[in-house]
Formats: sequence, structure tokens, C-alpha cells
Amino acid sequence: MNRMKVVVSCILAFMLLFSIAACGGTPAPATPTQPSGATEPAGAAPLKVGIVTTSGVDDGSFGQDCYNGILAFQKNHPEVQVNAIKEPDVSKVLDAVAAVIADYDVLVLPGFQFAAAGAIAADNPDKKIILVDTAPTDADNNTVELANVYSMLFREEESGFFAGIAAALESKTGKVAVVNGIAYPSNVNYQFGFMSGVNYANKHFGATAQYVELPSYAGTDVTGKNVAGNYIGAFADEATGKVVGAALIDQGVDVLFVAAGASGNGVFAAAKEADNVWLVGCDVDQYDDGAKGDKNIMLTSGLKVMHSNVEKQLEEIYNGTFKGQNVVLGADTDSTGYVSAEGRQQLSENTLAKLKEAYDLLKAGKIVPAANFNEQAPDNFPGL
Amino acid sequence: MDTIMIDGLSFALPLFIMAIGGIYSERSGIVMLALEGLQGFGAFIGAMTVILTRVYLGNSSPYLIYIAMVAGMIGGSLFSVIHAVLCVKFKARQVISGVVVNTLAVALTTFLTSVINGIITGEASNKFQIGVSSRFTVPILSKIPIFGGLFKNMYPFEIVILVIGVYCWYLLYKTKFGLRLRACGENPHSLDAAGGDVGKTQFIAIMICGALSGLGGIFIAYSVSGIFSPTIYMGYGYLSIAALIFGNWKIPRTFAVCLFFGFAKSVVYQLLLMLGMPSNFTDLFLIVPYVLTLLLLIFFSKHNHPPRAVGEIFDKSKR
Repeated sequence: MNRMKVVVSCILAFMLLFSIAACGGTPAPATPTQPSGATEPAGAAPLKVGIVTTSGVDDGSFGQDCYNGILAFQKNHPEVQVNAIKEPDVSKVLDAVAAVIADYDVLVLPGFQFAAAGAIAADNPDKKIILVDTAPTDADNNTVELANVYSMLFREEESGFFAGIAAALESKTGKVAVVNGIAYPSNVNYQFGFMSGVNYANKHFGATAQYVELPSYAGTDVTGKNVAGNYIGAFADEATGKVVGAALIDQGVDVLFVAAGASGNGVFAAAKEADNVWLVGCDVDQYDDGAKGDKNIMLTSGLKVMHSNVEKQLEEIYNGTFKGQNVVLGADTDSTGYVSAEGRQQLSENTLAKLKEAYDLLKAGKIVPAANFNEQAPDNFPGL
Repeated sequence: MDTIMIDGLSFALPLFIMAIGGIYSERSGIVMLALEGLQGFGAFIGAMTVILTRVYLGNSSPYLIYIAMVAGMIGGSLFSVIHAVLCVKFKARQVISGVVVNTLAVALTTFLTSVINGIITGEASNKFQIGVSSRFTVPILSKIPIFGGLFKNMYPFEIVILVIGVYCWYLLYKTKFGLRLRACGENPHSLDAAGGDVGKTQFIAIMICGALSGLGGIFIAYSVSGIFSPTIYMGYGYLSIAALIFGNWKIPRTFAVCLFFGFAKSVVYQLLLMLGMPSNFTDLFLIVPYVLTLLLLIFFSKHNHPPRAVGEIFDKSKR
């Protein structure tokens, strides 16, 4: 009996360890352990790349897209070591970064929550940091530009703009809506861009769509301004997401553009339970999330191309041509767009042609859709 | 109005089935804090089974959700064996064991979802896309004014849960097994003296609890997002523990409490939509049901009687 207890407690202890390990770091499926290859610059140790995320590198969205960029880089340079670190608690991510930075040459940090990593970067000038979706800030919360930090922001309003045009042209009921998580700048950009897109399609392409907003889910942006729209109020509240989605569908909305993180899963579920409601995904190609039985209700997705930009910067670091700077990327560098690949979208020929037309104009700078802080309004912007 | 009824019922019933599980366990004398973990693991097994069987049955097969229900129940009860073995066989502290089961479930399902997705689709993803459940409307009953909404857009789960709920009530109060189970929680020595097997009864009670929680979990996965992902651990298990305590460890009263929780939530959501209040107030209003619960607990909890021997480790030699 006693020996049995010992055995079981050993097993339990092992399981506990295992569970902690599973919590702490999502295993990187493709981490190579080969010794240094021949392609490595002479004398240098292999580059160590780390990525810290809150949602994991398997979230089917943000984290995963950045991670894919790292993996693509690793494919070309097999000696590079890659490790993924997951810290689900947003309030602890910066501590996590500070704790591990000594072990890596490069850290990729996707997300708004990593802004204050600028201070950590300043303390570790020999380490490189790639920040996605935020600019670095110093200890006093001022945006800074650092020699060892490359930060990329995206013009989400451009992706939202394409989503808005697609939604307005494909809607049968003439009612469309955008659903967001929290009114952070990236979300407001998506929202304003979407509204700009709907207005543009109405004016130039003969659409007659209007965007529906629920007053009780209006958002308040980072400056305290009411930006209306449909904000779930969280990025991981699927239940409320479903309520918001169902309420919009009740009002006749038949195309929903969803930029709300995991809360969006609830909106997707509401759309799938209803009939003849379509979705537009965001950030990455979300076609697979649109599966409804044998059908699929994902029209297209507004894209924010993170992977190729992450890969590009890693290459620069590898070649020693890295230059720290804060950049805002858009369609002019193929960093925003929409899914047009055959089999990954379900837009009509007409819509695709119109989108292409708008894309070219936008890329040429003829159209500047409204964003949170670019002084344009969704019903009054250059190109409308 | 219809939306309030429809949503209220679909919020309330998963809570109810998990709370029944909790009642079974606690009435047999075992503290059950593991509902959250059990529902998550049940949902995980259910979702995984859907992913695997879908290959043979096709994506839109109507049988998938029933397979998911059965698999979810099996998964939940298998996982509850950990709690049962620890509490019954090794007489561990039941509170600690419950917490272990919860922690383990979160970590294990998160990890396994990634790994299994990696194997099946070649792409690591932390969610199983299981699709949404079909819904149906009961023909005549749905025409009743006001309450007709209860019979509109129902999930098949709701019928299953109600049937199982009634049967569980019958089993607990009207059968020999139920009597023994309740004796375990009140005075296990009397059962022992009467020739019953306390350990075996408790073991079965915990496994029933696991099965019911698993059913609740797969219902949540289907009705909230049509996805299994770690966001399934959003505290419904703990809410159902609150429901069963508030319900005084009795199935009919717990049912009423669950309905109260469910409808309070749906009423608040619809009220907010109708009033068109700014979203800053949304969160404030959503806590109203819980504040009410707290107040009610203050007034009613002194009449509550937890099973007398709950949490006590059964020691035969003390008789």
C-alpha cells in the first residue's frame, strides 16, 4: 500500500512538472538542434532567435504569422536556433522579456503589450528586437527610435478598406458591420478603414450598403474619444462576441468583418448558426475558420503581412545590414492587402475586379482611408 | 424577448448539467472543485473525436454532435478517475486534488490540441474547428406568447440535458443507489455498517460527475464558439459550483438557480442593446446578476445544509 502511494505520488509529480512545462513554453515543432552548419559566418556562434507571445505561436493568427516568418528564415539558415515562449499573462510579458533577453540574439515581440520593451532594449544594446504592431517606448512612455529595435506598424485602415469594399459589394441586404475587440489604435484603424471602404464602394461602385452600429457596444479609443462601431470589450470573450454577432445579424447584417482576436470566434459562431451570413477575416487568411459543415462562409480576409517582414528583418540581421527604425508599412510595400488567391476566397469576379482597381489606386497613394489618428474621416478622405 | 428566452436557456443548461455532476459528487461526500477541468477535458475529447470521425462521416453529418456528446461524457468521466483515485483510493485532500485536476486539464488540453493539430493538419493550431450545432424549433409550443421563445432555436443538447437531468433526479432520490450515495455524504459509517461499499459508491459518483461535466463542456464548445480552444476555460465550472451551493445541493433548486443565472445574463445583454447605453456600462451591468447572487446568499445561506460528511476522509476504523 505504502509503496503504491510512493509510485503514484512520483507519477503525479511528473505530471505536474509536465503540465508546468506545457504552460511555460509552447514547444517549437521545428527547433533544430544540429551543430553549426557550413553556411554560418566564420567564428560566430549560431544566431539565436526567440519569440515571446501571449496567445501562442499556434493561435492561427497574429503570433503564428510572425512565427512563420521566423521559420521561413530558419529554412534558409538551418543552423539558426529558434525558441517560442508563451506568457499568457499580459501583465507579465515584459518581465518575461527581461528574463530571457540575455539568452537570445534576436527577440521577436508581436503585440501592443510589448511597447515598453523599448526600455529593455536600451539596456541591452547588443541584442536586437523586432517589434510588431507597436513602436518602442522609453521608461517615461515616450516613443523612441533605437538602434537595436526595428518596429513595424501597419496601416490596418488599408486592410479594413478592402474588407469594406468587399462587404459592401457582396451584401444582399445592404447592411454590413465591423466587429472589433477593444478600441486600441489597430482596431480603430480597422474600423475606420472598413467604414471608408463601404463609403467608397457606395460612391464609386454603385453599392448601397450601410454599416450598422450598436450604440451599447460603441468603443472609446485611447484618447477617450467615442468612436462608435461595435466593440466587444475584450479579445477573449467569445460569449459576448456571439451576443454582439447575433444582435447585428438580427438587424439584417449579412456581411461581418471581424477583427476581435479570440472574441471573434463567438461572432463566427453566430454567423454560422444564421443563414446566408458571410464573414470577412482579418490579419491573416482566415478561410479555414469559415468552415460551416461542407460549406464555407469566409468571403475573404483583410491582410496584415507580418511573416515576410519579420523574415526580411531577420535576414538583415543575419547579413549585418540591420538598421533600427520605426516604420509604418502599407500596401506600397505589399504589407497590407486582401486574400485574392483562388480557393481561399469566395468573391465574385466583379468584386475582385473592383478591389483590384481600388488596390492599385491606394498603392499609388490616390486613396488614403481614414485611420484613428491620420486626420481623415471615413466619409471624407482623399480619393473618395 | 425571444432572444432572451433562447439565450437564457442555452446559458443555463450547461451550468445545470455540470451542477448536477457536482451535486452527485458532493452528496457522496467528495468535495468537487474540478468541474472546470472536467468540462474542459470532456470538451477536448468530444472535439477531438469530431475532428477524427469527420474524416469518415463528412463535414455536415448530423450524427457528429451526438458522437461528440458521447465522447465528451466518456472523456470527462475518464479524466475524473484521477480525482476519484486520489480522493477515494489514496484519501488525498479533496480540495487540493480538485485544483490539481483543473490545472492539469488546462495545460494538458492546450498542449495536446497543438500536438494533435500538428499531426493531423501539419499546422500547429490551438483550436479544433468543430462547427456549429444544428438548431430546431418545436412546432406548436413555440407559438405560446412570451414563453414560446423557450422552444425556438433549441440545441439538441438542451433536450438531452433536460432528460438526463430528470433521470439524475430520479436516480438520486428514488433508487437504492441514490440512497446509498446520499448516505455516503451524510454518514458513510452507516452505509458501511449496512454492508455497502463507500469507496465504490463514491468512485461511481465522481465518474458520473465527470460524464455530466463533459457533456456540459462540449455543449459550451458548440454553443459559444463552435471551436474547442483554451478559451473554453472561462469559469463556467466555478459558476456551476456556486449554483449548486446556492441550490442547497438539491437538483430542483439548483435548476432554478441555473435558470436565474442564465436568464439574468441574457436579460442584461438584451437590456443593454435596447437601452443603447455606452459600452462603458456593459461590464457594470453584467455583474448585476452576481451581485444579486451574493446578496441572496447572505440571506439564505444560513438555511443551507451541505452534506454532513463532505470533505471528510472516510476511515473505516473510526466506526
